[in-house]
Amino acid sequence: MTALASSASACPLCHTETGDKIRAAVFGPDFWFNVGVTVLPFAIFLSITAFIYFRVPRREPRVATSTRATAQ
Amino acid sequence: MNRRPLIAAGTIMGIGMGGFVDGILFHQIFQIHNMLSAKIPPTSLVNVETTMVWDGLFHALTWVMTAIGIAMLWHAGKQRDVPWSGRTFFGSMVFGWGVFNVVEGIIDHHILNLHHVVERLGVSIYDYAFLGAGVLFLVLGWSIINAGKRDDLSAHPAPAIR
Repeated sequence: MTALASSASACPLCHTETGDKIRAAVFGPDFWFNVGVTVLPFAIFLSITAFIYFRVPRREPRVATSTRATAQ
Repeated sequence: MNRRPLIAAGTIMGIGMGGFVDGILFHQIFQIHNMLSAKIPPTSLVNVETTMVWDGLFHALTWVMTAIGIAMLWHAGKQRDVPWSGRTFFGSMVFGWGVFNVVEGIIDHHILNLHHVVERLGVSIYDYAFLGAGVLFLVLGWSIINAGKRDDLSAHPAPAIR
């Protein structure tokens, strides 16, 4: 019964002994490190997507420019 | 003709979908690893619940990627110079899945050692298979995107200019 009660109330928001331990483990000294390493790949994903969306288009060949200049 | 909005939308949606495959299949159904399972082994109820929180953050960010992709796709659909090519979009999604596997695999599995595909084995053949699948998806996606170059603006959903 004790084991069942402990399992049923084991959540990060539960005000139980297990809940307290989970909160302590999540918000421990390495909390911001864990947030950073979890977010890091997603920052790279956004950068890659932004590069695809905003990348500078290829320049026109120089020959076309010089031909236009010669024609003028 | 400007394909970049459609390729970018498909890529980030593919990243999101690839992330969901990883999270749903490996973290939840098979439970062979979790986001921080190399740091916090799932050996007690407290540890399992703690890694579940970090899995939740991973899934939330994956959801954000997918939501951004939907918004970008909507925006691309309103631009008349974007060809509405199924091949370009599908290829971009496959490419995005490849981006997910390669970036997440290199950073989380090999550099930071946060988790491995099969956690009880540590760095194993499965981590390299994960990367290999990523490279395969990149090449396959890129080739499908290139095949979509021939698609024109005829099937565009935006209303014609009157």
